[in-house]
Amino acid sequence: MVNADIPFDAAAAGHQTARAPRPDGAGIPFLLGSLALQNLGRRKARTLLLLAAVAICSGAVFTGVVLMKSIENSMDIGFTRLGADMLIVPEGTLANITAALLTAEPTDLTFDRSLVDRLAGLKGVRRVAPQLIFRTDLSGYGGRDESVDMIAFDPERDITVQPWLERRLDRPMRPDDVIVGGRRDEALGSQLLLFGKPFTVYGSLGRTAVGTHERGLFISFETMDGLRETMRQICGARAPLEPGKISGVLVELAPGVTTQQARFAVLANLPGVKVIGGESMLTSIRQGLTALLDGVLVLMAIMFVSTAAMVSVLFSAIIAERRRELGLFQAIGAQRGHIVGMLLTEAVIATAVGAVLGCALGVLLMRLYQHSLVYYLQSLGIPFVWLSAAGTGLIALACILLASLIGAGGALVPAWRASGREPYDLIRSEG
Amino acid sequence: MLSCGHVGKTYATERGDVDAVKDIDLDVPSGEFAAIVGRSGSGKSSLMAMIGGLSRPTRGAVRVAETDIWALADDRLARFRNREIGFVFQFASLLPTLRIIDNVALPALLGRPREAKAAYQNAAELLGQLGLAEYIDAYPAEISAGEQRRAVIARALINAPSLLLADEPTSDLDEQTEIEIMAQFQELNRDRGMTLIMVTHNLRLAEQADRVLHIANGSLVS
Repeated sequence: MVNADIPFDAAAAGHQTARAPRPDGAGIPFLLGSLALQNLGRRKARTLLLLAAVAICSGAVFTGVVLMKSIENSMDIGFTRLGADMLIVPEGTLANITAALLTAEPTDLTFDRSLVDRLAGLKGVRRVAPQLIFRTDLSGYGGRDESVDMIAFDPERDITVQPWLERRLDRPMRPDDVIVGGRRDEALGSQLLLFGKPFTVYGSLGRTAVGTHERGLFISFETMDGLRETMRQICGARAPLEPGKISGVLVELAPGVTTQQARFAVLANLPGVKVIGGESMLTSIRQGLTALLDGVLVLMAIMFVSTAAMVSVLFSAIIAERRRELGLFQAIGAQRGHIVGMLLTEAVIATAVGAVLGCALGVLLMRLYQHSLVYYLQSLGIPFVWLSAAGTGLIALACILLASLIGAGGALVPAWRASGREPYDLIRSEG
Repeated sequence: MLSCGHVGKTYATERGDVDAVKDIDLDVPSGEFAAIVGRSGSGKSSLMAMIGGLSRPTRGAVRVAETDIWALADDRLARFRNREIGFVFQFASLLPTLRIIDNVALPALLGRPREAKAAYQNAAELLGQLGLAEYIDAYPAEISAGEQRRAVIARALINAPSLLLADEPTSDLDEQTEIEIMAQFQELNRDRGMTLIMVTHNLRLAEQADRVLHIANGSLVS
């Protein structure tokens, strides 16, 4: 006899424990989720197609955004984080964009350090940071004949070195201290010899992707002055080793002052110098990059919209195929929310998994970039600093969330329409 | 238990309106086993769909357990169906991707989502009573058509409804299974006093009911 009201007695019912169901019982969210997953599994080819389409779209967006953000990041390093709006170098110095982005190019051309105060006194100049760069392979550091860029800076005026200090000793910098570039691996507090004189590694800079900066050894002007005589004895009478000489001055402008205005002021007051930077070069690069970024963003938006349309069309077909199942589901008591929820869960699972795959593909693609394009750029001295792992992770998460939202959005209209139809209409209309 | 007053259904087609059901008045008292018999296209399934809250009548009213079901909002109607009406359809109506026990427990889970454990216990018990205890963890494709139909009956009973509607419940079953299914219906009606309405084109089956109603061209003829 069948009686749904009597208490459960598994033994009396002949309940086979060998194939027992989950004893705690699967709740409706679990069952709806499970149904969604199994429905995706039922049409493997179609699901794989959907996953592939979403993966390609999400992967392209993820890779594009990370690359563009990395480029922006690299530009920020060049234009903003290094703190210089302009670089003033002796006339005749060969300048390339890389040097202009970061610091003075190692060169024996110099000018007098007294120019720094005159420059600082110009209207519109906020801060000036002199540097002396001396490239030598006779320092005795790092092995025989290793070329080293020694960069002297003024710790009081510096705007380009100390902001990059990633690690440092817990005390002020002293005259016998040296700061090492991001690619140097000396431990903090360890000793190194330069021209036979011991120096303590005071700090280590972060990676900037610019060779001079990353492999340089940074000392104060005071320290350079103390070492000058020894260096002259070993390296000979080179111009940068003459007292009171510098290789260039990094300039930070006052707010509201354009580089063009400052350029005129510098050239009018300081003969024999060359101004690198300013709107003609830097702004055009930035504007070009911004236009490119905007174009990429529009392209990405189009890709996501087309993905949403594709998901919508696909789910319309899926729903049309499953009308009877949905009608039956309604007949046994499923409410509109259950139907919509189940279908949206399916769409969200498919698009989220597709997006995860896309991001994984994007990471592989970026590794490929790292070993080809980025390596090539860096070999030319063009800075390229990847976005941080946390930033990349956030973009991946955003792509996955966006893809899921698009999946849900794409499936919403067909799901809502289907859930609003009468159960009998759904049951008998399956063709 | 069931009262239909001037219930009619008109479908709009390209060739004009078609009256599938024409102003039917019908009362089925509680505990009765009624069979609605008619040829294909006579309107019997449309009538059953309106009685079961699956298809809105073009006109008239349907009262089940003193409730005017078509006056209810959609979600309330869904809850009413879930609680008060059990369905046995003519097609294989188990969800193929769910196990038998999940299929049977589903209406209980939809109605009382927080009582999952009790739903599964009841589902296992019902399957045991219908001789399907060994298949509770199986998938629909792993059992025979007759066993699937018994599982559908278990699903229809899981919420202990006051009205059981069966639309051609034995349409594609062998004779022996048909006899077993009908025996179960009669047992439900006789021993539990469940109100049962069965739609069929098979007169021999219909004769096992307390009352046989004939429908032709959308109207009850006897």
